Amino acid sequence: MDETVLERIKSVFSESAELAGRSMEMMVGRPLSIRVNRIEQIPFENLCESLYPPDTPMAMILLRITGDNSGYMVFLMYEENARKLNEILWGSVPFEDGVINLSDPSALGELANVVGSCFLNVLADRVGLELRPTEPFFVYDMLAAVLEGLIAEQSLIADKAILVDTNMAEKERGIGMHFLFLPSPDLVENLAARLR
Amino acid sequence: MTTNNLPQKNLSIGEIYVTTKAEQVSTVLGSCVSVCLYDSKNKISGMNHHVLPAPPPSAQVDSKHSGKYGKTALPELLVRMKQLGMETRTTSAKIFGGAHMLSQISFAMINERNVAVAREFLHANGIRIVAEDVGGDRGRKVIFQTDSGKVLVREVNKREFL
Repeated sequence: MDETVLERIKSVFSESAELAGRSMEMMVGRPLSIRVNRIEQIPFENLCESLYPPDTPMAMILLRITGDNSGYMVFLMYEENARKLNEILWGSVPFEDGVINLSDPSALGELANVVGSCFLNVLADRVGLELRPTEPFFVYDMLAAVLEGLIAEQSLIADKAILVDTNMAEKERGIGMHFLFLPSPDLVENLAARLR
Repeated sequence: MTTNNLPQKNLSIGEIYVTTKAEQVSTVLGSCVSVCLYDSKNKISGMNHHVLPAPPPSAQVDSKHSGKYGKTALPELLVRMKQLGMETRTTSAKIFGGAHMLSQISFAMINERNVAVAREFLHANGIRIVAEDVGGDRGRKVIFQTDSGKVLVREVNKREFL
């Protein structure tokens, strides 16, 4: 995927982040913004190392892409950022005694659902495909343990992921969040052909 | 995380490592599998980290990518250990990983096949399996102490020695 296509994906994500920010704003009743800081393609073999040490515990929300083409979307953040994000969004904390409470990850899942759906909707409109996300799946575990599962499945058909660094802000509070987009080769091919 | 002052080696995805030195070799596993081999007589140790059980049928696997697949990585691990003087009768194996991390969104049972390939290979080559910590739905950090054959397994908020 060349730089032009990557820039177009960045603009799709920026547009969808704006839409998602407005949706979240209506849900929580406070001004929110989601900003895209950078976007880059990363080979699977360097993916974990380019983010954090492989054994770093991270909160991750995964959505599978279905429809005309396939792939995955992954939202990942430090536990502390997940905690702050929950406070900003819902005023609640799904953690007990410093340990994330897996029984109530729905708030983060909802965020991923809104942002992921907005991204796929804008992308689908631009390229004329039908793309839908599955239900969000929350996991709190070591970074490499989760990503290698996706890499294992995707590496039979693809070799690169697209990393988008974002920042979600409410007033002066900003929270860093990574978004990983792992399109299947047929989706990459369609994006390359239709986003020029 | 370290458990003593031994030199540290981080094993990457698809990497194979053999040594006669006292070291701590560590890796993080989800659906992938690592086999730790330890020859107690000759003090030779080896470890791999395979991602998939086997290459696609039509794929040509070069030496750069052989560590990615159990079917090609494990024979190479054994060859490299034998080159250092490993003997089968004094060598034991421990198997780790093979978790089904993404059960709600991924239906590919790569994890189970990764473990099966390791067991089949070890049985076929007459190497005793003395410990396993496989399956489940959590990631593992595995730390192999090559001077003793001991392995520390850590999950988020949990650890144990095997």
